Amino acid sequence: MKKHLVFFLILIVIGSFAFAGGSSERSSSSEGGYKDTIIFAQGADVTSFDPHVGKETPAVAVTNHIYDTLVDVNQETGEIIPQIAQSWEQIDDTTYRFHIREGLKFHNGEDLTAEDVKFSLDRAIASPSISYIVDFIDTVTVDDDYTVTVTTDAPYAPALRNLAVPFAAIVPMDYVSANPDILKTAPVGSGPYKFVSWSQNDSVKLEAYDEYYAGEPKTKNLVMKVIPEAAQRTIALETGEVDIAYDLLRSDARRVSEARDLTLYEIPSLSCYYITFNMNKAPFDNKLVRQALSMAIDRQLLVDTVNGGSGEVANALVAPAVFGYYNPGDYEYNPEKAKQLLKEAGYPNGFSCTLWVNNNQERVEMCQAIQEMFREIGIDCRVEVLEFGAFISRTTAGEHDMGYFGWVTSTKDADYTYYSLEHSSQQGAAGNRSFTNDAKVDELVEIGRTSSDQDARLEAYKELAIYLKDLSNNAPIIYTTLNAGASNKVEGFEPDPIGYHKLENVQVRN
Amino acid sequence: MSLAAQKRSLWAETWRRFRKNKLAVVGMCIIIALFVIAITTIVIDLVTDKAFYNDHVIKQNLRLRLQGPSKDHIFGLDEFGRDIFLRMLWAVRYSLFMGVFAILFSVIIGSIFGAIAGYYGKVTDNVIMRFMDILLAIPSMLLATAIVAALGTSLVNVLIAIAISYVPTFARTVRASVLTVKDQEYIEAAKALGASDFRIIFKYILPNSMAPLIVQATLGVAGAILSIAGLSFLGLGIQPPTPEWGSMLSSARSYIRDGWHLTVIPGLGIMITILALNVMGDGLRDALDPRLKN
Repeated sequence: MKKHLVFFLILIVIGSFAFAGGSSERSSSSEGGYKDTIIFAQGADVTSFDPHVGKETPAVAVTNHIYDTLVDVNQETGEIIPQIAQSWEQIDDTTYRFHIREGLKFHNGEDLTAEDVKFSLDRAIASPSISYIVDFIDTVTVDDDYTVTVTTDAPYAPALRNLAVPFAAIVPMDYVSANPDILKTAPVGSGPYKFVSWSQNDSVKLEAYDEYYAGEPKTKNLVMKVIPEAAQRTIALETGEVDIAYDLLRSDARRVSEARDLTLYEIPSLSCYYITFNMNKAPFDNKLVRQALSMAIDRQLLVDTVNGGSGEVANALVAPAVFGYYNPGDYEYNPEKAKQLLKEAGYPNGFSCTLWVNNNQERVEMCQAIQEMFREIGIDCRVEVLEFGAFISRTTAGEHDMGYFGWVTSTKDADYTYYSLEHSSQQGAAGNRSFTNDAKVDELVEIGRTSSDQDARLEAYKELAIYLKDLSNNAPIIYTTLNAGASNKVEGFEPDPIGYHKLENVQVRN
Repeated sequence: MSLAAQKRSLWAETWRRFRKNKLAVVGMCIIIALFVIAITTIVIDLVTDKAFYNDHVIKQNLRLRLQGPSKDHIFGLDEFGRDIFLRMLWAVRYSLFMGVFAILFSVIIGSIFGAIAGYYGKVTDNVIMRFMDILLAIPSMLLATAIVAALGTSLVNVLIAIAISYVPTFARTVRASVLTVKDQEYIEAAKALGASDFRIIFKYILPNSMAPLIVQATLGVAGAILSIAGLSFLGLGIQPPTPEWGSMLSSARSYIRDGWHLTVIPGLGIMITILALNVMGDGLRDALDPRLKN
């Protein structure tokens, strides 16, 4: 009897191993020597498959394969290119007319018409999570089945760029109006991939949409795996468990670039990390104090060491690749002069303060290094690590002395950043957490926002960058890079500077 | 007079038996050494007015980060180029003293509750012990995390959190020994002589319930040190740049493949301390166990 039991147990153990092997995602090769499945890993799961809700990068990195937008932005040239809209014209300062491709179908077979576009944009405007990207729109009117007219409240220069952001996705009207919550779990769009299945906190499976207007995607299946621990993603890449891994640790990036069978993709991101001074609180209401603190930071040293040599010293809140970027000159590092400024400001012996940061290890490390730099000019600064939700809500309420933030210029247009972070009407939740209220800043931001003359916009942003550097309400620290690792067998992968990588043209050799 | 003499001989007897357990003696030596280190670093801070601490323990040298062990820095440098050896030494005080204080605090509170519950019995016993059961039902680490999250992160809050989470353990231990002691004849004698409840509990019952409490407390310190390290690991304990083993371990996590010394050394520090306390606790239990008297 006992013998039987042992035998049975062994059988179970062997069986479970065999089963584990069998459940592997790898399937057999397809024609042409390419695999029929791409497996990629990222740090977090999709928050919502509803494109008008799930705006976090890990969500968009998946959903941007399912949904298309009216227009797109060419990665290299920065030009606006057609997507759902085949062409468009700007009728006057506040009116745009879009001509929609005929014959487009959603994954469920519904025709994509002007009605769907109007429905989708209205739905996006009504969504609190992402309305800020489309709330420049006043009305959307349907002219005929394949023509829509969009009018804006006021002249809004970056309008087309905003419509290219994945949150402005076009969704099927009949399908969604029947059940407003359906996109959360059963998304249907008109993008290159169809949704197949989602197992929460584990994986998402997508399948090529063979009627995609730009041609069928090169690889049939797409699998996204959630691997939260960054070091673990590198290991999964090394062992061949995944083909592509997003967002590697800086310390692992070097390891990947040195590995013979792996490739590191690293591009400048559109993110800037910066310290915000709360100007509603003393002593940060004093410009000299802000300038002194900014001057105490050795940005180049941070880039070279804590950031592992990747990224660049920041000199403005928008990254160089953004339209409207102007370099007002690098921030000076001079602890002696900083002490001098503190003395002039009336703090010869420094003061105590706190620097808040959310619980992301790489950010916390930056803050610890900056804390030490502050200590050298006599500032006793405490780094407080907050959970992300608390960090956002408490800095929105203005409880912070200083906060360490990151900001991505998602539209690739300076307006997105300067309006949110610097305009006096955007204090608090919208992004202006330095509580800047400066007439000159407002004026320049508004010129940049409403002028249709591109040169006038650039001129305004140039003046703004110089003015803000002197104002020092924020201390830009670093422009980060964005990385991804892939096996050498991966062909055609082009990383996106925001992290919305698209894989429809990617293939993996056998 | 005769009572004092007997007390001395009880402790002498215990010590004689404890000494026979070589492992426990090694454990005790390690703990004593840690106390010496902790006190020495505190004295250095007081004498130099924290100058040494500022210039050597928390001073960063980013260009030399992650350097391995060398002649100058026997444990190597951490991710900010700080000397890991010095940080290990300066961290001892937090783990050890906070562990000891937290347990001391919960021993006192726990003993009072346990003694009252055991001595009075009936409704009092039920009310106190059911409350302790509720506390016990919540995992101690979870309870401590919740308390720190609610009160905010600071040294004192961590101490309070850990102390509270250990109170029920001691209350139970004390109650159990009080139950065995309270029917002894000398208690009856004290009662007959008109001693107050307070006097009976604190003069006669508690001192005679000490043995299991000491063992429990020693093991509790080990648990408390682990909890402190755990809370710091989660970012809820001692805040950077103050050195603490748990937070050192936590921040070294992402460098585990680049600098082994960053994680191995604080890990070993925690392990050796806990092991030392545990073997010492085991030794004490054997030495104090009357059934093993020989």
